[in-house]
Amino acid sequence: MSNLNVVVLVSIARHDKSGRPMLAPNDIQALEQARSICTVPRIVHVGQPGDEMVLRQYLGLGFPRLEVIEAEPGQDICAQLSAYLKQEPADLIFTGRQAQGNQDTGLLPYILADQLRLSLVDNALGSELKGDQLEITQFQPKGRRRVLKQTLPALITCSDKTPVTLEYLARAARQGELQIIRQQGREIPELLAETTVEASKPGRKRLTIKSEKSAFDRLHSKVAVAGGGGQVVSDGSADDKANRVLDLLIDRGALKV
Amino acid sequence: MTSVISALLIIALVGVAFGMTRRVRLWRQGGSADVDWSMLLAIPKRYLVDLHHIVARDTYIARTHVAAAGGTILSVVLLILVYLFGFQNGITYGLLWGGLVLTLIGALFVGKRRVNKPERLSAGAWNAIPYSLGSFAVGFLGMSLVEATGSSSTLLLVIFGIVAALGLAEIALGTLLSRPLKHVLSGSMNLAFHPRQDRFEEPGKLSTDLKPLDITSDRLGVGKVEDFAWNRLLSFDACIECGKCQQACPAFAAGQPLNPKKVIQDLVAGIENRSDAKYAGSPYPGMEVGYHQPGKAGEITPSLIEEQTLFACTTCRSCVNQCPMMIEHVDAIVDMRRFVTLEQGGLPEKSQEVLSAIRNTDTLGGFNPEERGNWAIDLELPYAAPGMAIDVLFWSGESAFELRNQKTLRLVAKLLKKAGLNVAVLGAAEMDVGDVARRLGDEILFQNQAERNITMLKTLNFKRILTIDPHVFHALSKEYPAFGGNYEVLHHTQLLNDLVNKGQLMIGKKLSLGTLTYHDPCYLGRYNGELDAPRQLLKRISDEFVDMERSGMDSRCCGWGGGAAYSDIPGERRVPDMRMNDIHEVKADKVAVACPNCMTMLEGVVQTETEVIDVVELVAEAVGV
Amino acid sequence: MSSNRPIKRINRFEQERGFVTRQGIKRIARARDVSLENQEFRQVAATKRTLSVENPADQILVCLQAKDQSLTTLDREVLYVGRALAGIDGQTSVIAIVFGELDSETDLTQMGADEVIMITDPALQQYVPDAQVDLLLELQEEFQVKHVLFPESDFGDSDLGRRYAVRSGKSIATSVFEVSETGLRRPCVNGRQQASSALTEVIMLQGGTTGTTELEFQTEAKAKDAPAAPGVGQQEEESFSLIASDIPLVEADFILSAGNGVRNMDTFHQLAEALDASIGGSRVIVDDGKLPRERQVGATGKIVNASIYIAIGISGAVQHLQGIKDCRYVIAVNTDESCDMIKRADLSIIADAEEWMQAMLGQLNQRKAGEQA
Repeated sequence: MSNLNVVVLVSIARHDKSGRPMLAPNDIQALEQARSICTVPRIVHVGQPGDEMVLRQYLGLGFPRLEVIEAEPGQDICAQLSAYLKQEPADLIFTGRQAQGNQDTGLLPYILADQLRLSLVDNALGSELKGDQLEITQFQPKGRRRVLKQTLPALITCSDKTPVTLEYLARAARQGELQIIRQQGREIPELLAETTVEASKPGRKRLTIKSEKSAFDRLHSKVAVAGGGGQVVSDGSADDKANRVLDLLIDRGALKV
Repeated sequence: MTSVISALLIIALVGVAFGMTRRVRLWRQGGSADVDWSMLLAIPKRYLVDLHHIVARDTYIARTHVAAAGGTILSVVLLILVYLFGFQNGITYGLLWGGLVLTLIGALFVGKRRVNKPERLSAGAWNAIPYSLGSFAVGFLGMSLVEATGSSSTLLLVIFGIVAALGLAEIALGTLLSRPLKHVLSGSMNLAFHPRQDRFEEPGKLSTDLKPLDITSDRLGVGKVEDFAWNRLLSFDACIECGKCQQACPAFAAGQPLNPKKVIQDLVAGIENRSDAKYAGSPYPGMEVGYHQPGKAGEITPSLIEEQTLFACTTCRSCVNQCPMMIEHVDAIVDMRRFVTLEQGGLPEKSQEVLSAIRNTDTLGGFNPEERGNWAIDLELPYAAPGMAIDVLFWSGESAFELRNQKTLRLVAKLLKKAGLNVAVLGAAEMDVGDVARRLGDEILFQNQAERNITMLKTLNFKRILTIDPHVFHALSKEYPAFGGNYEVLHHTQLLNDLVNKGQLMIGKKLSLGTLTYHDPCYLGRYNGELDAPRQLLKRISDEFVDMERSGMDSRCCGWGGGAAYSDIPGERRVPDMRMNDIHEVKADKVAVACPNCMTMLEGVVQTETEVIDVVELVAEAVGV
Repeated sequence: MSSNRPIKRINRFEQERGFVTRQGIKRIARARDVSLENQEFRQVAATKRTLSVENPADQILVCLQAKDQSLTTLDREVLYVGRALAGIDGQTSVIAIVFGELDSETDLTQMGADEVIMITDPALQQYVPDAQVDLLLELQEEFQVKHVLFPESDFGDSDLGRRYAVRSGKSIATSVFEVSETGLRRPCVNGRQQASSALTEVIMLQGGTTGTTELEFQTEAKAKDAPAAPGVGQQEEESFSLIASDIPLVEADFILSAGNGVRNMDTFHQLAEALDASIGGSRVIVDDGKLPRERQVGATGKIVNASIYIAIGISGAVQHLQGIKDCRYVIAVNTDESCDMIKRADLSIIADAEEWMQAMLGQLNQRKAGEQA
């Protein structure tokens, strides 16, 4: 374990079904990754101390202290964070990739890295300190991984595929300390477009390029109908049936022969 | 001759005294307990009535025990009277010899059972018992007869003396050396200081509510044997390794790494601060004996008992129901789970998820709690509101979110409407009762759920609560009173049976359903003793009702309870599959259940033709709803 | 015996899964033996009119990463959206900026790009997103940029788009699930709410914003030179792929799954290895100890998200079907034509599991031998 100054940024998520405040799963994954570098990372949250019930659940994952930077709703969280982290610099910052209960844009790490002039590595699955460099395993889809070497200081966003071993314990939640930090408030940034927010409803309009119906269109729809899913192959030899699937796999790029 | 016998007896008594001192010292590692010392006087009654109620189920061993134990105690008392206090007359001699012969007969029957011993019995020191008791009886009988005939043969004296001493050693030193006969002391003390005194109010009296944990305490649950109260350590020490619990345990039968007998024996190992190597019974399936011992500071989990063992338990209470020493296995397991879940960590992942779901949604499945009342939306049932006078308050539970069990809820509601009852549903106001949380060891979460539900119920004006879920039934009726919630709670089979009996629902002619059997939910049957209401209903509906071999109080669990369905500890078989085999054994075409969780588990069994239905579905069909 | 499914299912396939070969031609036809229509289709496709844009007033940039020298369905959708927002009146042109190389089969003329800038500098093929942003910042100077579009993907697109927006100071909307000429919508508050706004300068698109990626015209996709890459510090890195059997089920793209109908697990494992597929199984197989618990597919096991899911001898319990609801193409191999899995599957083979697996192994070997010869 290193004696690096490691910071983890945590947020409060909203349950997708109940809408109640809860721990952000992706931030738990950031804590998990930080824990592998440093036994007691600093945990920082910007928000209202009134959220103590949820914040204590972060402590319940086995951490002694959580720093809460007080902010009113509507104040700029990035500015709060960067001001605080300029005062109390970190060698390494771990965050989730995207909040789950707010704007959920996934921009905060980028704005923060830009304001703090830090390198940002996205989508880490885990990391290991090798000398003065951090060796980061980066997630890529379909079972691919990339190992990167990164000098410090840096900001790492953690993959939502990070395996989690941290466990909530009431004892730890009770014992940990919430440390309230007050600093000057900052207004919301202009970066986000003005939005209207409403409750989610199913369905969406899909974009199509409008034009007159052409011969192509008619044929296109015909082919699409002919190509209806769920075909059943019951006749033919076993080899025919095998070849049918093999052709399909090759067509779909799943198999290279 | 007399002096030899006297000397042996005095040495033995000294051994017994040392043994008692040691055991008392071991028990006193435990925490304080609120005990009534006058209960020492109740031991004979409790032994002869309450304990006999359980032991008498196995007549062979009951009679053998009368002979072996009765004979030995009679013999020892008379040996003392005759040889230490000098009451030497025809009666005492006659009684002494009679006692010794009785002991010998008992020993022979113990020995006979041990020749082809059932798997559930432990070997090891227990195998020595017939020999020890036998040699005790033969040795003293020999010496006493020789002495009574006035012979002074040194040869006979030496031979019988050695034989007697060998047998007496077991009796005298068993307590000191933690051998089988320590149960004479611990077992009788357990009858006096049993942690659930209400079990002795009448034979077979149920006492099944989990006891609240002081959640403000500095240490939550049991992490070391010292965290148990001393009378609970004493109760573990009473275990005679008969394995009745093991035989009844669904997790053991499924090859999951749990054997209630070994849990208790591991705790005894913990009390004696040694490894489990001495244990000579069936291991936890898949785990070798001899590699577990208390941690350096006396920790139980995971070094002595692993989490997977604790979380394999379905809390079905079959073990407790069977235990002739009236040991409370489930209480012990839940206490250890509390420590794992609240203090130490090691709760299986899926069980952590269900606890999070309760915290975040008040549902087990992480559903939108606002949708809890949706199942009743088209039934024209009122939703309970303050000020409304309600007769039956219908608690929907988790079934509100599951298609299959919604059917059960809806049929019950329709039947109650048909019977003209004043029913209201709770809808979104209702919160998970906390049964799963409590059984997984999260007492804080349970108490939070209980307090919030009780506060919510205080705002309403109702006479009784109805539920289709025996877990809800048990929590509300038996476990909420400790938190100030006292309600009349009914299970749907009880209310429906009542309505049928009173003629408010008319069952027409019987249905032809093929062979019908009934699976008792643990939390309705074993936990709350309701065996009759569902059977009465089923027998009114069908002429082809049969009970399974394991039914009623001996019913086998479906595997859901105690959070086991979430913990999903791997085994060789699945508990519900075994239960379905029981159902197949009576060639049932249909099995009626009375619990939505049993429904889920038994419906999850693949490759069966047997239809799983709730009792209410048959009632509805018979009534014509 | 073959049967056509109701049209509802086609829509699901067409719109959400939109499978198109690298030539931009629908291959559904071939998979279903409608070779006649297919030929006709090709002919029509070859005679598409070409849209040419001269002197456009402004541009829409579409930034993509080549994946295995190809583009994904999402990439095509983003190009399609770019085309739709640009319109076909010649006012706005679509510039595709592609990091990495594309194979010859990936034909951008079929995807709506007017101009194509291929960034093939090897130094930029590694994880150097800041250098990629430098290059984009330099490139944007050449255009009147109306919008910059990125796909939301873990291939690095999500990362690049956010970096670019923050460094360029442009307005941005992320995870956009609905877009039109007049505005866009994206989820917030963990999907419980939706935020609507006018179109932003940077737009990052989730899958499914378009119903199709087919254009009824083709574009010129004129190659345009890439600017010289700005100074890139050589990033030391290595890439590797987990072997199929090590890929967690939830991540696996190609899954071979065994059910009760599979009697010989050895054949099953051989076939999975030969196909380089990840292994899954039904609950029965896992309960029987034939596969470890973490390989169980279904509501009580793992919810999988594979492009291809082959269910061998799985009859399709509800819980299992819930576990594969996100799979793109499901192939069922079963003896029971009436089972639920076949109702769900896109292609069903009525055959004995063991016989079919043996035939697969045999034919696969023959093909491999043929390849070598």
